[in-house]
This record gives sequence, C-alpha cells and structure tokens, in this order.
Amino acid sequence: MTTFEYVLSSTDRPVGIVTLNRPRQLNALAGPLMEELVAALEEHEADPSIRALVITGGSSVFAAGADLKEMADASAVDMLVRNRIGLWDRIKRVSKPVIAAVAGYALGGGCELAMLCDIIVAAENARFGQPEINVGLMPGAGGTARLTRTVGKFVAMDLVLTGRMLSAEDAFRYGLAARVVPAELVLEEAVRLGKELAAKPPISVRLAKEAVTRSFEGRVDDGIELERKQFYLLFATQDAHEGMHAFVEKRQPQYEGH
Amino acid sequence: MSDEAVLTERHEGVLTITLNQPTRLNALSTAMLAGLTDAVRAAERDAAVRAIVLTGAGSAFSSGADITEFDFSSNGPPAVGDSLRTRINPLILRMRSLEKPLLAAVNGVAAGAGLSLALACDLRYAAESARLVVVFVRIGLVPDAGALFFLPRLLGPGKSLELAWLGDPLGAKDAYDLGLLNSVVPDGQVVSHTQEVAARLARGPATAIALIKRAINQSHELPLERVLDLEASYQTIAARDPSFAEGVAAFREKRPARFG
Repeated sequence: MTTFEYVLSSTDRPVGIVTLNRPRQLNALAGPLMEELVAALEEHEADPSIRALVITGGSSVFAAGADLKEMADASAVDMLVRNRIGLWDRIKRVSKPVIAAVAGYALGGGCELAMLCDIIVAAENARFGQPEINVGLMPGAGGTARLTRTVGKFVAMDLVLTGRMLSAEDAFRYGLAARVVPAELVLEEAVRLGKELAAKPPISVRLAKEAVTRSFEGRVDDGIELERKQFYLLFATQDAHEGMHAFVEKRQPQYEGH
Repeated sequence: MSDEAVLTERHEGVLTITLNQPTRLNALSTAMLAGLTDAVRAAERDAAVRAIVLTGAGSAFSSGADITEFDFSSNGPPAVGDSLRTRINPLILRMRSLEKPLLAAVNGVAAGAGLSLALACDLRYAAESARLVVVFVRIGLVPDAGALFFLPRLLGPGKSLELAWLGDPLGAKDAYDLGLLNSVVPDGQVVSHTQEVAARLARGPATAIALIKRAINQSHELPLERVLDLEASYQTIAARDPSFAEGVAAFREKRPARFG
C-alpha cells in the first residue's frame, strides 16, 4: 500500500480506511491532500480484498473546508483552468460503498466531501455547514445541490445563505447523518458498518449504490455543473478575495459588492 | 478581597469558581460573564480539574442580570435578546457540555439569570437561608439563560408556570421539596459541603462520570431505542478505560478503588 503525506491509508479487511491527516490545518482540503485522498481511494477500489471504504478525519475534526490560502489570490480563469474540483468526480466513480465517519467540523468542502460519500456516520460532536458565504464564496463541490436534495430547499437555503452549522442531532433529524455515535467510536462504528456491507452480495451492493446515487443526483448533475461554474466565477469578484484574505488574516472582511 | 469579578481556586481535583462582586449581589455584569466564561473554558481544558464548584462571594449567589446595563436612553428598548445570544447562551451551552461535574453551591439568593446559572449546573446544594427567585416577570420579562429549558424538566409545567408567572421567592426547603435542589445545608457550610461532594466525584472514574453526564443530558430528547444504543456505546468506551479494570480489581480485593 502506498504511503502518503497528507492522508493515512490502511485496511481492516475487508474495509479500506483513508484518514485525512493534516490535523493542525483542521484537515483543510488542499489540492495535494485531495490528490492523495483520491489516489488512496482508487487503490482500495482496485484491491479485490476490499469491499467497503471509510473516509475519516479522526475523532476531533473531519475537514474544515478548502485551503483558502491556496485560493485567496486565484483568478476566475485560474480556478477554471486548474479545475481542482474536477478531481472530486473520481471519488464519485468509486463503485464500492464509501462511508464518511464524521467527528467535529465538516465544513464547506468537508461537508461536501461527506455528502459525496454514500452513508454518513456522525459523531455526537459533529458539526455540518457550508460557511463559504462568510468568505465571499459559495459551495463549489456539490454542496448546494446535494444539501438541497438531502434536507430540502428551505433548510438548505438557510444553511447556505447564513453559513450556520448543524449539530449531529439536527443532521440526523434532517436525514444527512444516518447514525449518531460517540466521537470515541465513530471510526469503529463506521468500520463495523463497512464490514456489514462487505458481507452483502457485492454485485447487489454495487448496483444498488449506483441506483440510489442516480436517483439522488439525477438531473442534480446539471445543478452541480452550474454550481461549479458559479463558484469559479466568484473568483472574478473582489469580495471573494477580500473574504478569503480576511479569513486567513483573521480579520473582519469589508465587502464592496463587486 | 481581590477586585476581580470572578475568582478561581483549585484544591486537588476540585476547582472553585466564585462570583466576586458581593456589593452588587454578584449581578451578571459584562465583566462577570466574561470572567465566568473564561473560567469555565479553562476548567474544560485543564486536565488537573476533575470537578467544579460554582458559588458566590458575600450574601448572594447571584441576583441575575445587571439591570444597570439596561439602556433605555438611546433609541428603542435595550437589545436584551442580542445580549443573551452573544454573552449568556454560549456560556450555558458550555456549562452543559462540559465533560466534568459542575456543582452549584447556592450560598444566598439566586434570582433571574443567577438562578438559571445554578440550574445549568449538574448538582445544586443550597444554604438554608438561600432563596430562589424566577424573578423575570416582576420586571416584565420572560425567564432566560436556560430557565425555560431546565425548570419544566425539573418541575413539570404546572409548577414552572406558577414560579415564572408569579415570581415569588422560594425558600431552600421548598425548593428542595420540589426537586430543584439536591440538598439543603446549614448556612456557612454550603461551600465546604459542595466541595466535599465535588472531591468525591474528582476521585471517581473520570471517563464514566463524563459519559454519565453526556447520556443523562441527552436522554430526555431521545426514544428508548436510541438510549439503549447510547448505553451500549458508552459502556464500550467505559469498559476500555483502565478505571473499569481497577474498579473490578478493587471490588474483588475488598479495597477502595484508586482511579487515575
């Protein structure tokens, strides 16, 4: 198994486990980390002894969003050309069930990464949110589309426009988290669930996953595509750069409306 | 006496937090709330602190909101809602989610939000002469700082409404009979008594004690199936803690357990 710098890849056969491992950066989803995450998932996908996958960030933080330092000075053209979020599509192509074991913050890209998984197991201390609005942006990796499908338009709108966070219990009530467990056991419970899925007939699991995903996303793909363009377009605004810089510099942003 | 609004003193595993503006009956001024929030936050992080006692200096526990801070002179009524959201609600949530026992030693009057602070603690001991007052209605306000969560859970709706509508003071004995207090202690002994209970908890198995608080605080909101599942999960965690092996060994050897 490959050794990575920003993620840890391990197995508890037949479950493959990928742990985001930049805790000091709250597992910010920087480009190199995402590349390693995708590579690790694909390695497990290719391993016939692995039947289910778990993505986790440990027992205190899942992922607190994108790496704003990386993007703060990017132009809309840079963002579009780099198309970093395009990489995320490869996670969607994993055919084995992927379980998110979420403890602590799953914010912005972190929440979107969790929603890209098939089942979310939330720790009691999990907090879900799309706070991009507070830095002059909006969700860019499926957040608006998948959250809307999951919690409904009106709650999604509240979350996306205010950036407020949902507790684990609220996430459970709204159907975002399938289970709530103590933080100390979140990975263990996710692996246990993975083993349960691994014991099911693999072709059924694979086709059922595809069917549920298709009906969940269906024409939502249009939404996701639009969302990505809008997200990149925001990099043409000064407010987005002001918002990200203010965040990195730990000061209040001053928005000008352009 | 120090002029700090909030004093803290640790003795072994027990931290005592004292509201310290006795001449103002420990009203919850901005300085008092900031000091209390800092003290709770520090206690949360300090591994040496295993139980916390909250009390007041002088004759009062706390008389509640600092009404001298209500400003009617500028435009419109005072923004009490905003003030609650920014200064008090996060403190109440922090007290409730603190993974260590928090005990109120109610040495004197606990009124309004001062009473709410005591209610947000896990256990409450009061001096015989202490009085509890859900006072808000007497100045035309509604109970806040968690009182509307804690009172009905402790007393049921009928008694909660009576206290909140009439705003009459409740003596310690009556408060005990209603279930608002864990016990009533002779005047002058309430702090030491509460510290003794806290010291017992501080010597107990910390993980189990924290999990018990977490579970009991959730159990009102969950169906039986979820609570049963929660118990199984928490028991899994507790059983992995060295305290479990020590507890069983001590029981077998007929000696007191020594929890780390």
